[in-house]
Amino acid sequence: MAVELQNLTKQFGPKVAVDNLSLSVNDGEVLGLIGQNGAGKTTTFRMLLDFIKPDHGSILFDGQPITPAIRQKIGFLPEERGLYQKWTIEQQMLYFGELHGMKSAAVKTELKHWLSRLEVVGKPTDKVQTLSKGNAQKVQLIATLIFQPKLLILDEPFTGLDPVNTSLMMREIKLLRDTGARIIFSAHNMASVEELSDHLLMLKNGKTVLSGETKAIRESFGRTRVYLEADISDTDLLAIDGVEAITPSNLGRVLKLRDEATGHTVFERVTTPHNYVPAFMQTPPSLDEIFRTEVAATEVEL
Amino acid sequence: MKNAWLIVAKQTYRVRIKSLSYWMLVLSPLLLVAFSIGLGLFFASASSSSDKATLAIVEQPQLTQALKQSKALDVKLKDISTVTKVKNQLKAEDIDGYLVKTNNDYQLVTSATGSTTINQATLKTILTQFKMAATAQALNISAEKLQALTAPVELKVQELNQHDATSDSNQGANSTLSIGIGVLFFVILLFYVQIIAQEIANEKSSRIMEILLAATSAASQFYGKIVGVFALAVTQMLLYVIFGGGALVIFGNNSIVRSARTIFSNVSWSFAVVTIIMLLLAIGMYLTLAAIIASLVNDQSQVQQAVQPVTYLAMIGYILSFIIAQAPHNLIINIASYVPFISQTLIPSRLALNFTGMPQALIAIAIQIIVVILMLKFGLKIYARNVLEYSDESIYKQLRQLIRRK
Repeated sequence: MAVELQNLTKQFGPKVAVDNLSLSVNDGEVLGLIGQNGAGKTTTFRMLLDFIKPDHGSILFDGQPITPAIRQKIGFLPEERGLYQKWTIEQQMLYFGELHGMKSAAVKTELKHWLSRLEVVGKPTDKVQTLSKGNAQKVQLIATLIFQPKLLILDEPFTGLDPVNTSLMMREIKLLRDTGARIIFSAHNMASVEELSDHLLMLKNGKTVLSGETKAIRESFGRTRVYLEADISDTDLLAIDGVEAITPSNLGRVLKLRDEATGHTVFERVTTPHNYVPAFMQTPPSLDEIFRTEVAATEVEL
Repeated sequence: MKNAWLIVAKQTYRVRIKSLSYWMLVLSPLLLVAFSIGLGLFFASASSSSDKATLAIVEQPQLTQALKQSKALDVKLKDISTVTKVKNQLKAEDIDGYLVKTNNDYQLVTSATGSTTINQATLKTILTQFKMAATAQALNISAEKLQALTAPVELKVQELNQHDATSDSNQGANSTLSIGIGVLFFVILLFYVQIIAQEIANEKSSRIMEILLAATSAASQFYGKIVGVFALAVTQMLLYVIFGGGALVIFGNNSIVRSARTIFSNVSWSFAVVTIIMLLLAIGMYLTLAAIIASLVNDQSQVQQAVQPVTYLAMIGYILSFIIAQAPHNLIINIASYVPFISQTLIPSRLALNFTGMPQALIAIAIQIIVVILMLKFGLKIYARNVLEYSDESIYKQLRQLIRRK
């Protein structure tokens, strides 16, 4: 069973915000939605949450359109976060919990677990406006997860988080995924997409430019990158047929290759008997690179 | 599964009912009433009962009797035989003054330090009557003849009305009540229009709205908020009824409460029912309008400005209701009585003064009901479309565009 979006199209005036988008997320899967601002991510989420109706296409939850019962099991973290500043942590949780069909006693016990698990500095009776930014972010995350959503939608969840909260967020998303929930999130940060998502979908001006399994997408570009730490000059490396460019990276360099086979030539050239090589790693291009090249490519196309 | 709108309504109600500002609003008119009643009682007691002036009458037992019988003069009376005694008592402040007869005239002597007063005009009238009776007796004129001589001309005043269903005192009671309700209603309305606008603008500007809408729906949020705030308004009214009833029971014998009771006892049931229904419908109408406008607001600071036209609208009816007494059959007021947002103050006032009848009131109510239903229906569409949009345009420009699009 899955959440399925089929041939969704949404137009605002003359602008096509989302153009013939199809995707599906199965139980226990994470889908990363990538795209620049204005690519159609937020519009997609809004259609998914039934805030706006698509002009064409359908959205099915386990084969049926959205109902209040389905809605209750959807957790949503909007891009711009918001809590009732003048309410206590507990008040918010009780309200959000009740809206999601939780009993107040359950909310109270769950809240205690969550507060200690996420190491929130503060008591349930503290008002949100007294919390630090980092703690408020944690409370926001608790509000989204406390009722164990079956579908989790996160709009730019890592924006504005400090490294500690970023890893907490990652951890909680993975834990929820392991319980069988479906998760859709959007991000600018490719590292997080790479780490979390099983599938990804790249949008450009409403059009789907890439879609599929994260690993498969990367592999499809071929292992045309070599990370190298070795005692050899750039000039010597560039002299090898098939090496197109060299950029410094970390302690070593990244070589851009014309094709996978060039990797063998490079390997043979650097691994001479008297030349110790601490690092040689041939990989597909990073998602970040793919994102850039794909965005650039379609820019030319348009 | 519980209805989401009910959860929203309950939460709105629960949070506000616990807030200090709510109780300030509820209690401030009561405190004002209690204060003014207290002030009235204070002044009333300062010049009555225990502090009644004591007036001594020298050597005139017949006059004393006559004064006691007439009861018009609010003093304690004492019959004293000699002037010296009376002078001593006045010095000792046992009495506040004395009345002595010199030849055919009377002399009133009062102490300069005394805090209480003796009504001289009343005393003069009684003395004149007393003297007239004595003279009549001397002239052998009978009591009946004297009465015939002195009887004043009676001028009967009668007002002719189209509708004579309600009696005169009824009319007074109804119109007093309708003005009172008009003032109270205006204050209450301003407060709740503010509350609902603030609630919605807060959720929209702090982006909580997206989380709420994800869990429920625009309809649940819109209707839930209106119901919640409506319940707060009804609670306030019920509290006043309870406080009022309690005051009647506790201070039942107080003169102010007694006069209030006579006013209320003359209120006709049909008038009360029409007024209450119209006020409730009007509150619903205004709350819906405020909710729609608040959905267009981007942040909290705009709320005040945004609801201002709503308060002006409420003010129109409020002001017109005062003009009614002067220009009861003015065509504009006649038409305005059927206009929703205004009718709730005009119809009760005109009904109270007998300027309109029940059929007209029922028509006005029917129009109100239709408008409320339409507003709830189309208001939801505007709300749903705008509550997640953050437009740079002014609110009323947005409204105009929305209406044109329709």
